[in-house]
Amino acid sequence: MNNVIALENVSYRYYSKVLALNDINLQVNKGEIFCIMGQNGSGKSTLLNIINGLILPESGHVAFNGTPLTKASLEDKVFNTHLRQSMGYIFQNPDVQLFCPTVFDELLFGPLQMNMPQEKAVERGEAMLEALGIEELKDRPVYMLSGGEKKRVAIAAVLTLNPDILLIDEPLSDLDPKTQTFFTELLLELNRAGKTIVFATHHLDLIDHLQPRMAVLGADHRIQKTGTAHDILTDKAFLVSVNLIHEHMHKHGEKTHSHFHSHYIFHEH
Amino acid sequence: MENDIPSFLLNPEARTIPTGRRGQRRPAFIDVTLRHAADIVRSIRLQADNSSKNTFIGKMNPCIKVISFIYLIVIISIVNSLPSQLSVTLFIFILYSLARINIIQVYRKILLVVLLFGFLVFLPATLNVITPGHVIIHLISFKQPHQFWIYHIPQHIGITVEGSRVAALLLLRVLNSVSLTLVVVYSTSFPRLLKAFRIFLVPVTLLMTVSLAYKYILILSETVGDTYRAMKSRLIQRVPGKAARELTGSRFFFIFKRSQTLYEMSYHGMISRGYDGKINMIDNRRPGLRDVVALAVVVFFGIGVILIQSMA
Repeated sequence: MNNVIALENVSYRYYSKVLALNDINLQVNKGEIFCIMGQNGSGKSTLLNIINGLILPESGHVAFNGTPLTKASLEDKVFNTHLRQSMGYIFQNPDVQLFCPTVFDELLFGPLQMNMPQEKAVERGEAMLEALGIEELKDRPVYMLSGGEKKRVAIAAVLTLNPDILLIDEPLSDLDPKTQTFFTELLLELNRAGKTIVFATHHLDLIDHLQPRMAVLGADHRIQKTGTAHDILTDKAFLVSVNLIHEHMHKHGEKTHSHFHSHYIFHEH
Repeated sequence: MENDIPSFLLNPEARTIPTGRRGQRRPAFIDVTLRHAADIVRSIRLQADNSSKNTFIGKMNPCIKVISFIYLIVIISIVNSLPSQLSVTLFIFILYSLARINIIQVYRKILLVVLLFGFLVFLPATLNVITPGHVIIHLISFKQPHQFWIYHIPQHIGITVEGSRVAALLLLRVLNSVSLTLVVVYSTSFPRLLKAFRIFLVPVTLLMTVSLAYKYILILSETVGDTYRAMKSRLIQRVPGKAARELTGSRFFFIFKRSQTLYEMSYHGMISRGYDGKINMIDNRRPGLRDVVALAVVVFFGIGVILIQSMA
């Protein structure tokens, strides 16, 4: 079986009223890069929460490696540990993900929860500090970090688990351009090493770099289209219909004009 | 999609210059309360800044620091001579220097509090009504001595040598206790301080909860501060009482909802990284050589202070 994640007719409402997802069907294959794309409020983060088993759908089925994610399966200690070891989730807002006293505690939280020996966990924590260039933050309380530092710590804290599947909500938010490049390249390297990457974004430039298979959510919270990055990004009419590109004004020297473009893919004059 | 900009935005506004009596506005109660939220943020940041300095005291094992702190507090409480207390004061000064904490800034705060309370508590102790002895400064005289409840009020009331010594001792004891506490607090980040409580077998879950609460106090204080500034930037004049209460009430509700969302999402964050009701954390209580040396210095200093007292 090649599907690591499968969703069938999944719908979800917040407080049983506010519709967030409507009849979602998708499969993520082992080792692929998969992007959930959509405008603000289309349900991207909710979808990631459902894939990670943090919330259960109102209707429909979700399966991880063929095992349905249900209340009963998530309460099963063995399955839950297997799921958490296999799937790492980097939240959009690092403030909600960083809950340990110091940065190093944060990095070791996941491995220690998985009962990894302390020496090995420390070794991994130190390797991740070095890899993300945050050694000087090791003993810093997490509330004393800047937005970008928090994001880097959140990334490192999930990678110490060495998960097979990485779920990332808005990968590049809060990162400076240099770290954005570093993280994009890191994702490509991890994918080359066999990891499955699922991310949610509305940034077309990241999609251009990672060339994932994609599912695009519309304002009605349904999947409007699935396909390769090339299929989606070259369909200008479709991107306009789902509010992912729009006509906007910009300057060329002294001349100001407006037209549809995404800054990265289309730039026709 | 075309931008439909309202025409008034594209024309300059005709401004009217406000008239009326000039004068300074008195800060409203809510202004003062919200400003305190900013003070919380400032003090948390100050503590974290100090504790992040690469100093001998800052790098000390927090468990050793807490043990040394408790030992020194006991010493301060039991020694009864002025030279012993003064030697502790000197030792604490050295600790401040080693921790590279601004002594003047901290002592200005401590002295203000100590003198304020000290004046009320210790001043009566200097009088011969409370501490009989040789009067050095004469204050009041009565026609005859009085007996009031359990107190004997002598004919001549004044400050005694014995009373001054007792007051000075009490004052130094409070000063030393407060300044020692602050050197520990300022040189140790809150998370490290919390971790030190593990030597008292405090459960990790409780420490984690306190740590999270501390973090959220900071986040919410910042939110309160930002909300206050945003409100202030749009309020041209004082809002009438009812409207101000409604405005503040709605902001409180917003902050409450925000904190609720934060803790729900944090819980999701913990679950997604394997939390199943039990927290495993790294046990880094093992002290290094310099921690052992520091503890030995503190222990010998304490013994020295007791020896000074026995010689005095």
